Amino acid sequence: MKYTALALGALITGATFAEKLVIKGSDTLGAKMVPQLKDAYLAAGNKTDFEIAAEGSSQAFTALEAGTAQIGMSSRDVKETEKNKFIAKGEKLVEHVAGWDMIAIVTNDKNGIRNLTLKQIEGIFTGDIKNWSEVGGKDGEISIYTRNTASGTYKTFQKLAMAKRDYGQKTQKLAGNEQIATEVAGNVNGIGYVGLAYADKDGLRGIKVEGVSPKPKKKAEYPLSRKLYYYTVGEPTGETKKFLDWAIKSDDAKKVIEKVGFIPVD
Amino acid sequence: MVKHFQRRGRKFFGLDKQGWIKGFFGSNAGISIVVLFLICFFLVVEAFRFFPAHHEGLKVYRKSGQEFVGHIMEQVDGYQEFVSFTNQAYFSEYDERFGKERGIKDSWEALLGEIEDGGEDLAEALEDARDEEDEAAIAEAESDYHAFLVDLTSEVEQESIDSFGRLKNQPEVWAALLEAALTYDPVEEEIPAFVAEAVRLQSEGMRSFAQAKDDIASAGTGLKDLRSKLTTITSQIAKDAENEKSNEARKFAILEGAEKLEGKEKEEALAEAQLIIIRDEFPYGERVKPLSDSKENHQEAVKTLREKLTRGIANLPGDLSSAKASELVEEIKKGRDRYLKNLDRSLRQASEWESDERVDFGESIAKFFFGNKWITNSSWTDVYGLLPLLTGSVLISCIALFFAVPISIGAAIYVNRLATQREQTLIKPSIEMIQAIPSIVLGFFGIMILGEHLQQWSQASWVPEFLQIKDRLNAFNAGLLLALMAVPTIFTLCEDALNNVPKSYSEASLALGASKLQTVVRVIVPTAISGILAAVLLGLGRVIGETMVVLLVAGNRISMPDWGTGLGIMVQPTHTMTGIIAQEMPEVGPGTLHYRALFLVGLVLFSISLSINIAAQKIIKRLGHA
Repeated sequence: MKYTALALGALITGATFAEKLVIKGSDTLGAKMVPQLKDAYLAAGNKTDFEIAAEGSSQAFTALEAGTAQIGMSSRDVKETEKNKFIAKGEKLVEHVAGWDMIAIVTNDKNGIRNLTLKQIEGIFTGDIKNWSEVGGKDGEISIYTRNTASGTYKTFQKLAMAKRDYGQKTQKLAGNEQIATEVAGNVNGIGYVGLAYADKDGLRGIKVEGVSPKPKKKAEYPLSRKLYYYTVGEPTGETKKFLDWAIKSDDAKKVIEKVGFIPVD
Repeated sequence: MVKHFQRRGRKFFGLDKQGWIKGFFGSNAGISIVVLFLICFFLVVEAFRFFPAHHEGLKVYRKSGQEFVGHIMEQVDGYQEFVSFTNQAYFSEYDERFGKERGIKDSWEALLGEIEDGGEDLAEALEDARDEEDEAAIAEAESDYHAFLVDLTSEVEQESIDSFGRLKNQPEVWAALLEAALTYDPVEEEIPAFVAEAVRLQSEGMRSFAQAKDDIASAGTGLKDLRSKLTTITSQIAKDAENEKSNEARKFAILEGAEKLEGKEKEEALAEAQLIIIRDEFPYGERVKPLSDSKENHQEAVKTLREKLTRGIANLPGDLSSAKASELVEEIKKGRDRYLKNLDRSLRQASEWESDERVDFGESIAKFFFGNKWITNSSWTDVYGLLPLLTGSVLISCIALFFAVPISIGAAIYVNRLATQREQTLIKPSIEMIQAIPSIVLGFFGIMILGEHLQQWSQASWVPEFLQIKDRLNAFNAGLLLALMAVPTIFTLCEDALNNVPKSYSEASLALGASKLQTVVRVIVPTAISGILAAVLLGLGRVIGETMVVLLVAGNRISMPDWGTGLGIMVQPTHTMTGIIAQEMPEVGPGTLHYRALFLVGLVLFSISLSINIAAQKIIKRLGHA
């Protein structure tokens, strides 16, 4: 009995001393930005253990709710139903803006299309427009690549570009930005959307939307830009607070955020 | 103690040594059976609770009026096909007859865009100078502007302006465009004569087609407006109803939290809790009133659509230069009557919709097993229909078996009957080695290498057009990889079956003067057929349950195959039952409808595998000598 108590005590203190920061959620944030922020944070002399898992924004809220993460990353704001779960437990979900992202519409660079209107984009992704010839291009059935349903980008794109309508049945749902970029680069009739950081790939062209090209300085005019978020349960404290303050406000962090293709909050 | 225990006849906890040994092995078997039973039990319970929850969801779908809007959506979707086809036909004809003119017009517009983008400030300066009528300033601004145009026209590339290559073989036209750009005046904004002529030519030539196209394109405006209006209303109703469910919990949580607060904060919290209404029944009746009122508008909108669409289709020109355009027009005319019939049917269904009509429980079951749509995380309403996933799984399995069965049976016969000892020791382990490749590695190979090559090979001239691969990730790619995975299973079991054929059979056959081949085909294979069949079935079981490869390679398109393309469905992307569970698992919260739907898919998958295994065993028992 005495030994078990001792062992238990050791376990608990061990856990608190390790200062492990678990961050889960969006692939948009978790694939490049947050891991690189982590590296820069550690390089700046901080001693924290990190665990980062990126499977989609929905994971942020299920993990926060289950208490398996201290910070949730999300590329969309929290849904009412998700919020209710926290309220029902008497907890408060706190939102922190991590930066801005622009969703780039990408086509194969052999496709001559240079510009699409929002209406045309809605038509393409809902399946109303089926052939490139309908939007001025050459004859060819459009192949549409989207993120899968767990992704925050999937939802945000619906809001920003599709008048909240559902995706067409012919869309192919892929797991990540990189995969979409690869497939579109390999298919002349492909179209997809990716975070700005991924649009710069051989064989891809980030096209203009309503005549505005996806460039950081145009974040206000570009129709498909959105905020990225960190979420915590309650106001952050201790190590979590220290990291978030650094990741959102410090100049070092802003440099990292720009480097991976996002736009820091000003 | 130990000594006592080892003494024969002494008992420990009522068991002697033999008893303990028996108990040890018996309990191992017992544990596996108990675990299996628990898994089955859990799976069945979780899965079957889907139906009541689904039934609840369907009730909300009807009560909130989403069902009514669903009919309108169906009508609009069908109509959009006509718009799409007409546009395709129009532009195909346009390109065929006026490709050059279209190139001139588009290139001029693109060129103008470049000029306006770059020369905005200079153009303003020129305009200011002309307004002030200052000769010197005008001359300076003009020469500045001219210099800018000279720069631009010398730098601009034809490819980036004429991005579809419509003027590729017309260097003289391109030169003319550049020349016209050089003398462009940003204040007068005059269009060069030959561009204007091209625009006139095409608009005259395409006039009657354009008229019909516009008729068709505008036919559904009213219905589409109605759809967006009602979509917003009904989504809100469904959302409010959903939110109200958690009201009780929320009120309780706020009240409990208020206990810990003091003074003003406490009052605020109490006031907030006061605002939350808890009632037994959400007042759907009064909320859906705008929908019942819209029934008349709906009738009206459908009537307009019908008239304009029929007129537009009738006015589509008959003699077209482009083969593709005439094909499409033909299809439009053929599809018209069917669509109009569907239009009437869904109009009737919509007008019969009543918010408070009962939803049969059977519908909840039928919609799952026979539904041809699977839509989750929808902004509208989630739909769980098994068919697209089931057909995907079956399609991929068929492709896999088509390749795996002949290869593995052939290999088994060769190794077992015809090969030399040395060949046997080489071939058998090699085939069995395939099993050692982890499926994620195969999937990676499929994405990175096989997909790319299959696509290139399929472009060869002897491949019929419907089999040419458009999307690298598709059922065929996945099927090939799965075939590779099934080969070792089928091969090994087949070989066992052949091995079990008594030696005397083949000896007798050979002694009667049959050749080796005759012996194999007429004696050995028929004798071992039950074992071979069982091997194929177990191979099928292996294929249908595989997850990683299909998730990565099958293309994840959740829709029914386009039956119209015949065998072309093989090279289309698809989704599978295993893939959907793996893909959507991270996003589902425990106990939600979506969670149970995935469990139900799992149960279906389990039942399929189980029946395959049972069938394999039955076949061996019933037919088997082997």
